[in-house]
Amino acid sequence: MATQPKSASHIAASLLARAHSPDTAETLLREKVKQRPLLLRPTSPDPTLNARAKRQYERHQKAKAQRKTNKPRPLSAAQKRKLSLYDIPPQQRKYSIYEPVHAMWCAYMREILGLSEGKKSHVDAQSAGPVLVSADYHGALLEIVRSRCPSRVGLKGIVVKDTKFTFELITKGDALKTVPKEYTVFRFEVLLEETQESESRRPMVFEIHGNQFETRAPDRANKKFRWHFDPDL
Amino acid sequence: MFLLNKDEKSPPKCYFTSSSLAAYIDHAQIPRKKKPFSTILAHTFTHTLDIALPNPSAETLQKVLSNAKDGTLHFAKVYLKLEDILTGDFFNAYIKTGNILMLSEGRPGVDPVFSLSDGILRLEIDRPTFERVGLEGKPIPSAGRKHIKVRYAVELNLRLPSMVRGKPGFERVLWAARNVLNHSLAWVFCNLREPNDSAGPIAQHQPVWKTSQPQVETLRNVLIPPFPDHVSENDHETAEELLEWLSLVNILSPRVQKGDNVDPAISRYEVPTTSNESAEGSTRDLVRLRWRGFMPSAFIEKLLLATLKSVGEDWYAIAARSFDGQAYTILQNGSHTMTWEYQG
Repeated sequence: MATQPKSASHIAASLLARAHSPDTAETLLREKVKQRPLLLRPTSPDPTLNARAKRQYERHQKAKAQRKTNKPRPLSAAQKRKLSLYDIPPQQRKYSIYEPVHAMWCAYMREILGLSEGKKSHVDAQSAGPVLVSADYHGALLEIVRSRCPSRVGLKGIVVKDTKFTFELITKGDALKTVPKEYTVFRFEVLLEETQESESRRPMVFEIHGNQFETRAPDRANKKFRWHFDPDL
Repeated sequence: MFLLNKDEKSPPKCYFTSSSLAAYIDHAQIPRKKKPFSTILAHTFTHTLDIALPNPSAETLQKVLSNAKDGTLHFAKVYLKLEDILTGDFFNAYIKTGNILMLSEGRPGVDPVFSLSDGILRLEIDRPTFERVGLEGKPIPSAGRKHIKVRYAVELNLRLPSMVRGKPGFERVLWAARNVLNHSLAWVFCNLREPNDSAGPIAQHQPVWKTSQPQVETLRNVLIPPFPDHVSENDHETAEELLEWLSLVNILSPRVQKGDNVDPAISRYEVPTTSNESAEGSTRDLVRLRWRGFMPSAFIEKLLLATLKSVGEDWYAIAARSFDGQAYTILQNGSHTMTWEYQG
């Protein structure tokens, strides 16, 4: 160690002196400790080792030279999975954590549909369609009512992640389910607010076709949607 | 014959089989794999049955039926939801430990049709409903026609030990019955274990029980065509002529009676006769017994055995039509049996 005084013996010397004769200990100390070569090259195939390694090394150098910038490249899907950047850790996979998020989402939904404060009490498809399409679904309580895959039908959970092709839902049993959006119909309800006649309150039921929602949430906010006819229905 | 339009369905088929039956049929060991027994057992839901016999055998048959009470048809019409069948006393008493036959309302091929036979519940539904139901099912093969909506069949064996409340598979079925197929339908119900029993869990759904005896009608002086002892494979004509004559007898048409002088503009039908027979021909009086309702195949099998017993060496004919549009006709003369199966 650099802080050790030079006059004191090397710690390795004292250890080696215990096990070997003084001559052997000195040889070992000199060759194996003081003059040990430090490897500065990473543990990739050594280009000097064999012809194949050399060719690979040359190719990588050429590709690097051709690259215009040296900016760090984005992570590949495999790297992202390995780093678990976007996973929800097991301690946070609890339905109770997301219930208040859902309550906030309901209020948000009512606001964008124009149902709050008794402004409107009816919504029709023409006016609600564009609003629903550009809405954010994190925190929505979705139920799968129709799907080409029979085992998905009946799943119900709160959306914790909205990716391009899937929804990640957390179910009441604290299970995280990744549900693909294609060929699936999701249903959600929007409750009207508490008013004087709260007995007659019935939720508004909306069904969205996953096929048409296959975009990332931020992209969907700006995208213009055209009316599609689905021959599969 | 006529050119088939693109829009028309594939032409209906009629399968003709000629076989010989053993002289003595042991009632305890019925040869179920041979025609005509296999034909009868293949059709589960029948709505009309006609038995045509010459007169002396007919009286014997009627006596036999009234002694054994085999000729009485007993079934019920009831309004139920699918959920009612899958829960409670009904499920335990009839499906798990009993044996019933049920068919729901609905045009086959158009409406959703549910049927229950031998513990197997079969749901025939179209694609949107099938995707909503969320149960495993197979598409019903439709004879290779393109551009038509395919229908799906979901078959559930309710007698399996895994089909109990609490098991996830059964819970899915209950979910589908409560949320998707939750409308009330008219069903016909027949209890196979105790055919004449009106009590039981079905009573709480207010069924309308129907008990019927056969309608007996006589047709006098009918010209009988000669029944061949053997019909070769390529002899379509004989088979068609016999089927035509039998069908006319079953609708009690005067065209088969002797001395029928009808205007040729209406009908030019003549009963087939052999060349060396005289124009007089042999005439007999025929009796037709008709049952209409909901008949399980076991009922028809019992009637067949009773007919065999009372006919002896004489001939008889049985014709039946089932709910899905299929029909069959059996003609037996001595030991020679001819079967026509119609699938349209």
